[in-house]
Amino acid sequence: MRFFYFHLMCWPYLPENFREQYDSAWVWVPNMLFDPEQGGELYNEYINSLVYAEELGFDGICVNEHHQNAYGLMPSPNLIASIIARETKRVKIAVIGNALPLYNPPTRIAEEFAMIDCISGGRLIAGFVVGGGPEYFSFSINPTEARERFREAHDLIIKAWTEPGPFRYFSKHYHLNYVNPWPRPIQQPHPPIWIPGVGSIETMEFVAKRRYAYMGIPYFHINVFKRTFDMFRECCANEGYTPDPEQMGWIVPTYVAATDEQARREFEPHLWYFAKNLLKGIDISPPGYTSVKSALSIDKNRDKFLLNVETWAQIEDGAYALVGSPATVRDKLIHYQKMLGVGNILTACQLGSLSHELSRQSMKLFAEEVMPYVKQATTGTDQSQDAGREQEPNAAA
Amino acid sequence: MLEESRSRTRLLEVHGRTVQLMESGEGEPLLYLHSAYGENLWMPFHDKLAERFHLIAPAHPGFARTTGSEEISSMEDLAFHYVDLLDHLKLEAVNLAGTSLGGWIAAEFATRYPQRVKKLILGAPAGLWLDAHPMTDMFAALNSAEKLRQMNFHEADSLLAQMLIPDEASDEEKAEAYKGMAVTARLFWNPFGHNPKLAARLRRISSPTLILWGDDDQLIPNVYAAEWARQLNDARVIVIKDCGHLMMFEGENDFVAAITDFLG
Repeated sequence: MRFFYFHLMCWPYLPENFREQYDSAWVWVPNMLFDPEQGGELYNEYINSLVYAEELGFDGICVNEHHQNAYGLMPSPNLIASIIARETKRVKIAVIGNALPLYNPPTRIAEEFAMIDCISGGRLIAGFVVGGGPEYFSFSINPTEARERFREAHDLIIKAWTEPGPFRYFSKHYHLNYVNPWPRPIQQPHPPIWIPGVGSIETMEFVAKRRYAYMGIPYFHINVFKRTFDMFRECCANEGYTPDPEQMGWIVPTYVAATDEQARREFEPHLWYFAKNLLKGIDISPPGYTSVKSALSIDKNRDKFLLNVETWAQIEDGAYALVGSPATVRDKLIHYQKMLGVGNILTACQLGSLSHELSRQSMKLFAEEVMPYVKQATTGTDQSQDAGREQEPNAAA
Repeated sequence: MLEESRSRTRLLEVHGRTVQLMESGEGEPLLYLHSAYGENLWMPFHDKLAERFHLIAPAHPGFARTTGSEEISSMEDLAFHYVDLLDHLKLEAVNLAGTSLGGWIAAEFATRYPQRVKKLILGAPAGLWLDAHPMTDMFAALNSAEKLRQMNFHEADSLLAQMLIPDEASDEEKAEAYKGMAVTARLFWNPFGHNPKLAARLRRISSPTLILWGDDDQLIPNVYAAEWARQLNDARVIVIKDCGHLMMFEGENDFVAAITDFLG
């Protein structure tokens, strides 16, 4: 069982009337709302928290990529990851991930990830994502090519890491005469690969086939996660194996304080800030971005999405966030970990407008009063295997 | 409002693609290329056009039962698609009409195969770009039927608008709409709704051309009508009153009358 400290780097300073005045925190949310001075302080505080996670005993940290929005201020998670690589000695650095179709040529990802792996002494976990719907608006990348580009870029990156260069790579969307990235990653044949997903069967099959790790993207009702991980295990079974729990991860907002009452009082406003301001517009889905079938099923899960949740009782009931005293969060985590069968918990300890002070207090309590107990209670899944490493016999050329 | 019995729907096999085609009427062939709305059920305007012409209305790849959308990523691909279809139908030259997306396809086709087009009718076509008059991004409004009605109709609250873009849709209707918008996105996303090379190529079109536009088009402003007329050799413009983007519905009578008059 491993714990990762997951950071979105939210923008906490949206105006009071944001919810009424703006229809989205994405794509066209005016960037004049971003104050560079405040932004600079924020980045440094957020980086401090990520470094603090190592001191507290987290197994790793997670950063991710988003563009032109107030929800996540990391258009380049690789920049942050490279700082973390220098500032830490032990933690795994999971970049989950780079949005492959947004890079042209995607060779750049093979290069930057290899740099981070070298600088960190082989601590990188390489995450690949298709990118969110809003990103296809923000970058004017054709959404109908998203899945094809993702697969082609993936194949290119893996080949760049596992086969000696230079080589030629011609696919439908990429035509590269000389692929020969310097540097190469320390981890061989390549860093572990994590793929976050929202439950589309196509992604799960892709992950299961290659024995990568699947990360369930948060903000859905716990039942959606349950279904997702069951489906993932089924996909692995179809490939003829049972997945290691460490091949699955659950991202969940978490907040711990001395008592349940205090935890809710301190955290609730920030959760609503997040749900009602920052998630607004995240669900814009350009046509052709996903299959017709997936589009309809996402449509059906709408009311199970945090953006459309209205009461604290729903938050508790759906485990959209784990909030409470150490004992409460411990119990909930053990319960849901068993229910989902995941071997990685990715806790979002900072969310929305939560202050650095409160966020750090909660992290500390979580690390001291929750993590060890949950690890103990879930032994048997507590070996640090590098799940997600490609294990196909022909992978290492 | 559907009168399926008046038309014949056929499925053709054209070089490995299935093409759905609605057909009705006697007289001169008129090939109608539909808009991104995907009017692939027989509508009153089809019927009225079929009273005067042999109306042939194929569904574009990815719409209705026409296949092959995965091979379509540019107007070049669609021009080839339609020249193959004309060959298959043994039509040497036709009167060609298109609305919105279909108008853009018709124009691209005519720049490449001017000899295959007798007369050309473009109803509020996409395809050109004026920085001062940007086309509205309909993709940003797909989750709001109300916004889509406002973009597409002069009277967004009319019964007609609500019937054509309903608030509630069945899964089947949603799937069909999603499929159509996905094909549209393939062609519209980047460059947005136009081909930067098209304007300079329009001089190759020799056919007399009729440009039709609603006087209240919120999706593609009708200032584009003058730009099309400026770039084409032989164009006339008719603006339809009290009419939004989807003129074949909201301006049905004027739309049909203008085409009938133009084709003589």
